Amino acid sequence: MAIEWITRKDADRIGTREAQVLIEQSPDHYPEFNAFVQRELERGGGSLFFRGISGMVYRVGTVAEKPGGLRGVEICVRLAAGGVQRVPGEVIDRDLWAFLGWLMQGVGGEWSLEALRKVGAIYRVPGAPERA
Amino acid sequence: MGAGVVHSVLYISCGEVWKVGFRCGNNGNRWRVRMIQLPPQIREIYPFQSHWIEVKGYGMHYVDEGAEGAKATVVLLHGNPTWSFIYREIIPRISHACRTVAPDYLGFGLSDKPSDEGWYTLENHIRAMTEFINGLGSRRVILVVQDWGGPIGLSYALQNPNNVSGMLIMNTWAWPEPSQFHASVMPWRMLHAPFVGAHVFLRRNVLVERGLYLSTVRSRQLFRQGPVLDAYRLPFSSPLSRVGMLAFPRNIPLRPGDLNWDRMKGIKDGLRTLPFPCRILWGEKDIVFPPSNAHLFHKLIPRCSTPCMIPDGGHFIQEDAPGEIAREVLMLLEMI
Repeated sequence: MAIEWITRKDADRIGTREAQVLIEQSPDHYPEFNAFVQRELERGGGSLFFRGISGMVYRVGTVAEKPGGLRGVEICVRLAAGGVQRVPGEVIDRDLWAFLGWLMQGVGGEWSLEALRKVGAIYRVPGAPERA
Repeated sequence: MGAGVVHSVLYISCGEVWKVGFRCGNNGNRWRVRMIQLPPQIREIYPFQSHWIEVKGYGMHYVDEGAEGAKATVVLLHGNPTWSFIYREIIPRISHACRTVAPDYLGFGLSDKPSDEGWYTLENHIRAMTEFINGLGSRRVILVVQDWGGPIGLSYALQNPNNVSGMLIMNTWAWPEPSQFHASVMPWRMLHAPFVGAHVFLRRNVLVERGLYLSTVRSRQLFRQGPVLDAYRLPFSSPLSRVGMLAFPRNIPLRPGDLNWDRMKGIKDGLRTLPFPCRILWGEKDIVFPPSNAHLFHKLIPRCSTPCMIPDGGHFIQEDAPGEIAREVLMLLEMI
């Protein structure tokens, strides 16, 4: 199951309220990951939007730098306007796992979807399939 | 999630407040009030009084047991993702013979947890531990080290050789060349890769939830469910409280030029200069640091005993062989 990239316009139809679900403070821990993500972010004008396998919509973007603040890249889930919306963690886990699959395919080289799936199975990572 | 420090703030279980800690600042005059009430099922197996000291501007938690006036102080250094709790079965076995101190690194256990990943460098851990040990007021400590306790404790020993009288080295490393486990994409490098690490370490805490189980042998059943697993979960109740856990693997050098390569090379070069007796105890079933590491320590350190191998011991050897570890510490005490 794969994520689907959508436009900002489509994402904004859901609403612009967001909740952060993941922050990566060191996208440059491995330079090849940073290069790929920065290239994709530039292509998207600074933010990327995708629809997870659950149908939920997410934004990927750089965390605003501020003195003493956290830096990095965040993933936020878009919440429907109005009311209180509770998104089950396991739904987000599966969507994030699918995002990681996209990431592996994009970075390439020694980083593979197969290795990600094996690690997910060994460590029983929530959101990962039970078998590689 | 905001920047700053994750203090020991409010831990709630079943609607009851178990643990509260907070810090107030006013015009630079900082004061701190802490109250600790661990869940009873954890307090029962970790029945030690909590102490804090300010290190690098953060509150560091530690256990300090044993008779006053003891001739020696033993400092027990943990690894990732554990805390002083991992020494709970060892402390009562040795504290009759020595002052027994077990700190929680910043970012671990009941210590404060900076939320900026950039804080968690090996250098900062070494500086914090140096400040901590030198603040104990004890001369000539015995260091007991495992996992990251190795590079941290050995760095302290090399910088302060006159303040160390012996070491027990367990399931760790002290050279820049990575173990096969650390160098492999599958599973280790994948686990802490960008975004993957943020998901599996920060969001889902798998190093506690699964890593402890996979890295123990005798005690493995404790990590399916129950108070021991709950105790390891307790300090890491939110994603930002787990940043230090993710930063440790990202501090492991893989090749020359990497962060900490030179530091680790310096530690390796210094092993031959250690002037005090060392003993080695090793879990043979460690998938991270194989028994060959034990033999390399034995070869490189001049006053080093033949390694005591635990055939059914894993990486977290404190969980698998607390009795054997206590025996080794008591033997070290007799040697000094």
